Amino acid sequence: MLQVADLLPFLGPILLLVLGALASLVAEPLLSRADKHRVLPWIGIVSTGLAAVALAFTKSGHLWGILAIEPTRAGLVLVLLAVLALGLAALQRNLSSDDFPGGEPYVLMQLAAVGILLMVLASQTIALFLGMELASLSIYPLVGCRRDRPESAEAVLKYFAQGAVFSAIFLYGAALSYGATGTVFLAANVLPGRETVQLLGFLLMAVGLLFKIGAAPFHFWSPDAYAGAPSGVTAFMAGAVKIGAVAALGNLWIGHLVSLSAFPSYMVGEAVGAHFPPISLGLQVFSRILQTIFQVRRSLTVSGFIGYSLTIFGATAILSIAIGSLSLLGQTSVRRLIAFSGVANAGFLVVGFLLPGLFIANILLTPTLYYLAAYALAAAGAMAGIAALTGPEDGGDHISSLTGAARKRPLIGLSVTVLLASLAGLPPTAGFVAKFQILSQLFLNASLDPAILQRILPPALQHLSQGWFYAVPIGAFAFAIVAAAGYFKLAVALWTDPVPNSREPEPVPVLLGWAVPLAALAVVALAIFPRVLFGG
Amino acid sequence: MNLHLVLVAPLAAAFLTFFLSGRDTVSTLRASLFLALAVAGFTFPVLFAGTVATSVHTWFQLPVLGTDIRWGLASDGLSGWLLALTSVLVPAAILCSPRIVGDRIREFAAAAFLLQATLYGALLSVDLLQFFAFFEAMLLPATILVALFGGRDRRRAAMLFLVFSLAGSVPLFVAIWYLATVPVMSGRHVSLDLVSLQALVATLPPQVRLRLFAATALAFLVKIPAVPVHIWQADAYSEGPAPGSALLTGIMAKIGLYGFLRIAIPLFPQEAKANAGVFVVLGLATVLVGALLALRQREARRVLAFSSLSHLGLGLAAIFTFRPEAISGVILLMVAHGLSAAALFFLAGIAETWSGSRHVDDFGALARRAPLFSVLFAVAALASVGLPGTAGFVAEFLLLIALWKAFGLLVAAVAGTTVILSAAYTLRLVQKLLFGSSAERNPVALEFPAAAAWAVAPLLLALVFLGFQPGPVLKAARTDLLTRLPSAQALIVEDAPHVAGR
Amino acid sequence: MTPQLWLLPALPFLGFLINGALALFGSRTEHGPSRGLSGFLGVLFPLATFILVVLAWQGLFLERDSILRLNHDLGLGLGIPPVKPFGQVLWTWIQTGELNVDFGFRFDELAGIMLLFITGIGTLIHLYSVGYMAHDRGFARFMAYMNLFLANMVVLVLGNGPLVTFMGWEGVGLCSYLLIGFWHHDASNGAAAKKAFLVNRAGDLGFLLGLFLLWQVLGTGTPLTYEAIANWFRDPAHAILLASAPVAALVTASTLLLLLGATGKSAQIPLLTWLPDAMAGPTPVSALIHAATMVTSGVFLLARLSDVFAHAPLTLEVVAWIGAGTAAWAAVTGLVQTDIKKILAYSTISQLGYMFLAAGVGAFDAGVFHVFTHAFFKGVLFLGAGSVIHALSGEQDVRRMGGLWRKLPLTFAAMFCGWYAIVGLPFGAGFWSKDLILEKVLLRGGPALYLVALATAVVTAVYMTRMMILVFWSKPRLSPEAASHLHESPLTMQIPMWVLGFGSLVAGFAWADPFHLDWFSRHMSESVGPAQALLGAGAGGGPSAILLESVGVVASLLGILVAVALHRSGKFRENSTGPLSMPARAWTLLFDGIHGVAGIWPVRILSWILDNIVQPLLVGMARVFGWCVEMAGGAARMAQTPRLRWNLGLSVLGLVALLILLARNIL
Repeated sequence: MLQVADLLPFLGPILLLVLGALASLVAEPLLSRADKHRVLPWIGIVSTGLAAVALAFTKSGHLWGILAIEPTRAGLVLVLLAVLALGLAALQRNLSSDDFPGGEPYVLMQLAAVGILLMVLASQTIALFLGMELASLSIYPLVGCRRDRPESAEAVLKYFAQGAVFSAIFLYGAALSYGATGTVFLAANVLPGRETVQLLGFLLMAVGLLFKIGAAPFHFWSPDAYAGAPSGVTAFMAGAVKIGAVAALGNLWIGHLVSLSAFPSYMVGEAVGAHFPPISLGLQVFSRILQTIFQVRRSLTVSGFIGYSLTIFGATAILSIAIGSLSLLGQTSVRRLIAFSGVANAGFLVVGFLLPGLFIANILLTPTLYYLAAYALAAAGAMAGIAALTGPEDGGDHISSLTGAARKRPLIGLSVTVLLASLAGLPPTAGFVAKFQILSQLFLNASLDPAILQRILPPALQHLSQGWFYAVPIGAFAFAIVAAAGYFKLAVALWTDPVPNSREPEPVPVLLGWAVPLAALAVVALAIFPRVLFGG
Repeated sequence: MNLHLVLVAPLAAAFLTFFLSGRDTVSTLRASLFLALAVAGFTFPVLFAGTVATSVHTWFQLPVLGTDIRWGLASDGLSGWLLALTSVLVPAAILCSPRIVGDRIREFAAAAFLLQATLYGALLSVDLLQFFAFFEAMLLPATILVALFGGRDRRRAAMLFLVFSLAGSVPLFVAIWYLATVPVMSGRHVSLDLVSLQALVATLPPQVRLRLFAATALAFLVKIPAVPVHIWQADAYSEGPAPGSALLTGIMAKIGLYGFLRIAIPLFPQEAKANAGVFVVLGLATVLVGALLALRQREARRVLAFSSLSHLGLGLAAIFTFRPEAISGVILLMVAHGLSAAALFFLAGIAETWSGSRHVDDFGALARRAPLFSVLFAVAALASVGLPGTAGFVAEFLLLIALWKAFGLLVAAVAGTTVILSAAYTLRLVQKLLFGSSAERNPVALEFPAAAAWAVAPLLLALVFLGFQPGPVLKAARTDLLTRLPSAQALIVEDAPHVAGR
Repeated sequence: MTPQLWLLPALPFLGFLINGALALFGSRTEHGPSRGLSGFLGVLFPLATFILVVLAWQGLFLERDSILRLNHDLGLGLGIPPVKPFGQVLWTWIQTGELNVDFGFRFDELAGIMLLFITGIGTLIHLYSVGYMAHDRGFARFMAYMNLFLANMVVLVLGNGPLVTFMGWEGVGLCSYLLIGFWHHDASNGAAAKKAFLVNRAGDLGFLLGLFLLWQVLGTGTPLTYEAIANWFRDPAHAILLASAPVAALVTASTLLLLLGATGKSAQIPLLTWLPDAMAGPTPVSALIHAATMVTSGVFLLARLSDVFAHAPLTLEVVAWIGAGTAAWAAVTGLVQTDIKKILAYSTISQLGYMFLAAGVGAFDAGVFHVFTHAFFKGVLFLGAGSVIHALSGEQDVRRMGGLWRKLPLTFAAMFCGWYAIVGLPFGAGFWSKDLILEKVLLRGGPALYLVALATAVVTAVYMTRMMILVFWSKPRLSPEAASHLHESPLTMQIPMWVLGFGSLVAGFAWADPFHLDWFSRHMSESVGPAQALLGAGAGGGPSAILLESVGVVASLLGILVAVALHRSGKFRENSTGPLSMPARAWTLLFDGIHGVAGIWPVRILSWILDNIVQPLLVGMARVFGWCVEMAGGAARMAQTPRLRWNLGLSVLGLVALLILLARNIL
């Protein structure tokens, strides 16, 4: 039996975040209007920092197969905490400069982080759903926290309405998956003859998560939500939500792979507490999958599943990259630009699930997770930086209003430029390394053994010549260049001469002043030492 | 001699500039100049050290595939001279900047340092992806230089430059993807450092090699640039700030030729040999097109831009003769052209601040109104024309010899027309700027900033010195370059070893 | 004594640096830099160079010279010491692959003779300029350029190999450019200067390519020095090789290309259009660069490489005809000019034609001898013309002069000497050299060439006499303001004129066979002797020298008489001013037209096409592509509708689409 003493180091980060949130909640009414924005963020930051420290002491393990943590997940959690810090810092800037009455947004943001933390750790649909809802329900009010603004109201309405629908879809998928396997675990053997149900469940759950990731065609909420929310919240959403959703999607995918490909060691026992290793994001599934494809017994299911996921993720990836890159090209609204950049990068993230490593050696989600970390830091950091550069009321949502902002704050300006470069995938930033890893491996698809392709590709695609597989990464990179042109406009606007009579922006709070450059530094460091987070 | 120090020096300089006052121009100028000189102080030992290298270790591995991406720095004669050139031009550019970039010296210096750092990285890389990373990173500061400090139309020019260069680098990137992944399928361990790549590439099927070579070459052609992918150049050089353009043409463009010498040819020797004709034709076309276009330009810096096009085209054509003269000559050409073109751009920038226009007809009679300026400009122009006694002459002479030996007199003659045409457009520029009567304009003497003189004069002295004593550069090429290009060494066509006769 | 050869170019270069500095930093002062100082320095350095040259000559050749003379005069059989040309390698210049070029100088007799008169006359003309340019704002600058020119000229002559020569070759071209365009406020001067530079560059390209081929003949092993080249060609072991068709063709091609370079520098057909325009420069420049020294370097090159040219009979044929053609054409053109300097310019071209003709028939020494004498009499003619122009405060049209011999007796005296020499009256410098050439031409070139040359001699006498008549003898036609302050030029200008005038009377005696004076030919023998021997130059025979000389004299007398007769009959249309008559202008601009059709316009048209059609096309394509992407972006943005129901609808639609897609291959 597990002792609470054993649980503490495992749950440490979660508990600390929750405690921080509660502390803020308690402190909030006691503080004067001004002090709220002076003190509460610091409480959040401190709890985040403590969580990070606690993370260092957590050992790999799992909680009755509900939540699991291992180094890879720990790395994601670390990134999540960083994003939370950025979000809090930016939020402080927004609210204090708006002189916002009340400090509950800080609490909500921390609770959202807790929810996302749960999503990352969950290896079981119910925990996953709980985490998802906790996150969503605390983000909705964050998006709409400026009640007096029409665009806020619009944002929260659209986000809530669509979010509700897709939560339902996810829930339905989870139910189907339960029906197919008899367990709520993400990795579970399919009961005989229920493969189809399983696959349908997988599709619905995947779509529910793709919605959170903001991949096309489930991305329509994100531009409005991003544009309506305070820039701090946008920063947090841009980074954190994707972390949670991609981690969960990875769990789901690997879970199905291993369960379908019949590794005895991954049989999931009903008996709670029975000893079985939880699904690990860093898991390397051995290429025996390849053989099992050619085994008669389960081949249909596994090869079917692979082709199945290739179809789902391929379609969404291509669609997202194209739509996202093209739409951010002509954007004049900074937040919408970041939103569409989120869509495009969601596409690249999903590409990670097309990686054919599967067919030659092992599956490893590391490229995807690395991309995720790079993107989350860059997006959150860039948005936070813009929060620092714009005046109160987020006056600077239109690019032109940011003209010359970087000239006034060179350091933050430079940081934002670097972060934008990372979003665009230019060296010397993590974005470059991430794109190289993902696209170069995707490149291998073209050199797959045709016999394998025959088995995994849907009939519609089977007649394609292999040249088309070269086209996918090259096309993706071409769109990345289009996107780069979009970011370029923003970067230039930041650096051109300020309009003469533009008023001096009020000083940036120390928290934000440090957070943004640190984010830029982290993005560069990730490029130079790409293996600090996820090994390899 | 730790090369990482050299690579970090300009980065540190760029970082430090952010702590300079943005307001006080003079002190900012002094400080950034000091930094630039310090960086140069770090750089020159590398040149004198000859062939030096750091240990090479794994930067990262591709997950699952286990492809090794290496990180290491190495310098030889080729890299060394370009490093030295860079480290000389950056302080000069900073010295010349005040008139042009106004109170934004801090930003300008930072961008220049960043450009310098990326150039250093590209010149020192030993790994293909490492090189590519710096090759791409270069675009950031370069674009910033053009987009922020340029003229009216700078945004469009910068955008054209950025997108063009990015698109141009796609093929190279794709080639890298291929090299990094596909061979793994045949169960071999791949590492992307140039030396082991040579072995790897040799084993690939010919048609694949051909495609990879074409992709690689295209990226470098865009960088030089060569006809017909040159259209970004004129706008970028004329819209950007003059000192910035000086850096772009003086150093960044050279990376294209460097790429051919260091990467495209060594990795794909047979392909390079087999398709040499294509590149010679491209090079000669570039020479002629550049010269003919330069004859008709109405803006001083467009003339200079096309003249750069023409000169570097000659280098491109000559490289593909694979003759020792060509390789020595190309390196000398890069140095000579870097110095003279940069000097011309600096001075043209100053002249523009006087006339407030870029149109050649708005200058005039500067010989009377700014004698020192005129002397410097004339010397720089003559150096770029390749007058004997300047490095340009030795370089052009060697390249022509190489072309003649490899392809016969007719090709040499076509290439040689540059001797006449370059004189034609350069003298046209000289006459428009320096000569003519200043009756309608106010004939008051113009004040030529001493800083600019101090920036340009050393470049010209170096040009003259190398014109009489090109030995060091040529030797560097002969000894060092080939040591790092084992497979290219096979290409170098040697005639009978010659009896040193006096 | 062993001379430090590097001092020879170094001294005038130092003068250039100092004067240049004076000009640069004095330019801001009220009156410009001090004329006295820069004038003094400007003359000092050439003078020092001249003295060094004389010393070097003494040290190297005097002993042998005297022994030879003793042998000759007293019939003694003293052992003749070998020629010891003095070479000095300064440093290794270019070394790569199999190319190995040393930067060095070589002081042999050919170089020595050239240097003697280049630096000597150069010094005089520097002195002359002190007076002539005295009132010019850019005095110091002028002196600097002149010194720089002298330095480059020395390098050209002294170089130990074609490449070093080429450095001086282009250097003098540069100085010529700078000095033609010296008064650069007038754009037309700049144009003339540019033209000169470009035409010369065309020749220089020929020079380089010819050099490549020559190198190919020698084999890459041989270093590119005149010594090595000469030895290689003189080496009997190579005779067979040279006889073989491919090598012979190679030699011919190489020499033809080198010839192109020579014609460029020496203003011969086809590259002669620049010299008349070059008269835009100050008159001392015309005297020094465009008459005495630079323009003769083409002939010098032929003599230098005589061993090579000797093996290319076809080329020599071409050289001879180019020379004859140029001489004739230019002489006729000289007839119709009205600008005194233009007349002299065409006369120079014509005389250079004589020199080429001589070289073409293998009489390189005669050619160089004419270079030598021509330097004197053309120098004095130009200086005199300058003095006249100076006196008439800028008037250059001979139709507005006349009767000046009374007003400017000294100038007249000097110019008379020059005239006497050029028309070839007995014992003048031109008499000896020109008749020597005529003789050789008849001996080896055949009658056709001889007749052309003779006719040219007549015409020469006509236009020179015409000039003298119009300027000095005929009745005055001065414009009043010119007449008002008419004055003889200062001493600084007089002395050089006298010296040169005297020289143009006596210089010819350096090689006067009838008086058994052969100082000149003796000293040429070392350089060009073998080549001429190969061409059978030694062979005498034919009509006696006296006869030929008298024919020459008759020719010049005839020309003078014709001129006088024409003048009497008023054919010179002295009073009419204004532009040249149509046929005259057409004849004058003949070769400009050819250049335009052959070179300039094609280039212009091509560049126009590139600039206005090709370039815009490329840019346009890029633009169009950009627009396409922008439009796609616009379309994509439109898909993002603000309406919630559409958003939801589209999302769910996507889900359904996925379901269908999957259903087709899974279910």
